Amino acid sequence: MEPRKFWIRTIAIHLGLIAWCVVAVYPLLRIFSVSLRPGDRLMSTDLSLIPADATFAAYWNVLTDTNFFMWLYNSLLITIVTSLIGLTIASAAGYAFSRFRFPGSRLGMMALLGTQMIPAGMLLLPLFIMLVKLKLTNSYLGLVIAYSVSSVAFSIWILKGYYDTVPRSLEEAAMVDGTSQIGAFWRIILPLSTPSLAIAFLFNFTMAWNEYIVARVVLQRPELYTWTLGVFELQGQYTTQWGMFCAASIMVTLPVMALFLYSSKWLLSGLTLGGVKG
Amino acid sequence: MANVTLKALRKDFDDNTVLKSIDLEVRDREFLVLVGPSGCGKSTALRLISGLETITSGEIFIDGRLVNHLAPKHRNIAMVFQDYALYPHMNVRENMLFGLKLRKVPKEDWDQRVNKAAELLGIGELMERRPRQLSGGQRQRVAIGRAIVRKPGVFLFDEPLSNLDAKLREEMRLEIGRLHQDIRNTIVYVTHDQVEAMTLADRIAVMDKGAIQQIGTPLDVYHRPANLFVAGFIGTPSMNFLKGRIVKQEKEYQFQMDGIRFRIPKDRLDYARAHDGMQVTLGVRPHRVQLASQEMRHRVSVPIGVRVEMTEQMGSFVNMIVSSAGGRLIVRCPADTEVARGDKIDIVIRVGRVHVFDAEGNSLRPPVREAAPESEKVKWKKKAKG
Repeated sequence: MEPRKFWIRTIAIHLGLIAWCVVAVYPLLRIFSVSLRPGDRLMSTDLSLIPADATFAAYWNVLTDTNFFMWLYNSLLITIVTSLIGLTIASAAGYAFSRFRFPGSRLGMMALLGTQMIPAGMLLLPLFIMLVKLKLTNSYLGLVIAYSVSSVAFSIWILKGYYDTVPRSLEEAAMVDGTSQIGAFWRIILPLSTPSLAIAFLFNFTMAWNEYIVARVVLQRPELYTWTLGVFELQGQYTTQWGMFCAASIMVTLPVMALFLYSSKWLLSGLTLGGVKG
Repeated sequence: MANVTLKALRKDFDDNTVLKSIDLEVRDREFLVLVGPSGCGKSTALRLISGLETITSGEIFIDGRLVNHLAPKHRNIAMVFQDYALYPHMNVRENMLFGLKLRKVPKEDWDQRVNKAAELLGIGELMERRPRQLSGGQRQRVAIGRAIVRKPGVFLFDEPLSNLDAKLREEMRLEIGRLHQDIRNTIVYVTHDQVEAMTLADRIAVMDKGAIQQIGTPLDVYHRPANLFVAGFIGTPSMNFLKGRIVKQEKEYQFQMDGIRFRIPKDRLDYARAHDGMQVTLGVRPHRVQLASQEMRHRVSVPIGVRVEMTEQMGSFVNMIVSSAGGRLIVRCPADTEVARGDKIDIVIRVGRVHVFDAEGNSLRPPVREAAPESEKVKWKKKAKG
């Protein structure tokens, strides 16, 4: 490619990427900006990110005047349990779909994919009726089950796809070396699948962490509220405490950000390089 | 140490029969090579022995014990895979220790076993490296090392050299041969490369279409091919085949084809099974065909007129591809032979070295075992030493 064309192309690509980043980051910056404003000024003519009279009062108020820590505890508990259950089921099911030939395996995978095409709102009523019959409304378990079933299908697809890329000869070598198929899965396949396990875990985590509608339907008792329900409580009929609303929103993104940063090293693929010829 | 016995071993994948009733005895400490073209069932046979595939019918005995229903880990075997199958998340030492840990070998023995294998294979300085930091040859050495430390009864090699380049393959081939001399374990080795088979094996089992075509020592298989497939598969370049018939003249039989006619010696044709007018295929190796102009030290056929299609200069000799009335032939000539494409030349066949096959492709050689000429034994020994 000519140098001139190369530069034009590079600049065009970067302009596009920068524009996309602005679109993605701008709402976050706005939330951050609002959280620093005194009072509940949602609208402002001031375009600066940090207003002249910036204050952390809204953050302090969220921590001291609301049940923020209770919401956080509920959310963390439900999210972590959901993610672990989802990952456990999906890692085993994905392995079975990847390695074994059994009647209906293809149909099963398609059915799992099909569940992802149904909007969550459509499932609300049947889900609620099921949970009422099982007496699981207003309980952590009810919400965990509701979240797990919806995230497992996607995780199975991710993990099955990854297992397909891990050569079978690795398991076979382990089986000849002295372990069973389950042992080979546990000792060889799972350690090699950390990138996909991390992706599936993060997907489950963020899905459960940010979920509002199902939680709204399943949980009515305030002491069980997750942060999404709790933060919504800050919205009153006549006034909304926008400063606290935004401060709480910023604070609840921190665990997810920390998790992403921590797990980024596991997301790097290429761990299987060199094990087999390729 | 152990022997391996396969009895009427059969394997079907759905409606596809991959192995048709295989019978094979691998003796204790023997190096047996299963050789054949892709899809002949040799790797399947090895996987059945290892227990990685379930058998459809038949029996497998390892060291006299029926192992049909035993998991791979209980068969007292170690396997070296075509793609090495080293665990990527473990370093070389951990790879080699993996089997020992699983089998609960006392910790005191670990270092001694691993160090001995590392020394044997020259991988001592690689012990802390991950597989991705190794070259192809080093990975294959580690894979072999991982098998050795386990001290299994039987080693199974599944085309271990096919992913290496030509030079490395030759190097590793010699190394595996040396290794067998050192450890004297029973080895079942699968390859499609007949050079590996000829140079490494105590005995070769030539396979095709899910069946064993012939079992014998490398020289047996080379000099006394049981059928057309073995004759064509073993030997480089491949054996030449000419279709014709045999005619009886007084007390001897002659091969006849398009006006060419020459006597077939008794040690090359079982006169008891031959009859006048019988359709046969005559096989002759390229180095048993020579230019009519060359000095003829042996009894040869009448000159056959051919046209040179192509020459392949190999350095120490030339392979000449010629077309004759009976089809395309390969002639191996001295390196300084001066012929060009399109030349019309005469060739002769050493009649004492021909192979005759009946219409079904079975050898018509007399059943009496004939020792290979001393000169040929020496040649093969030299080749095996590289």
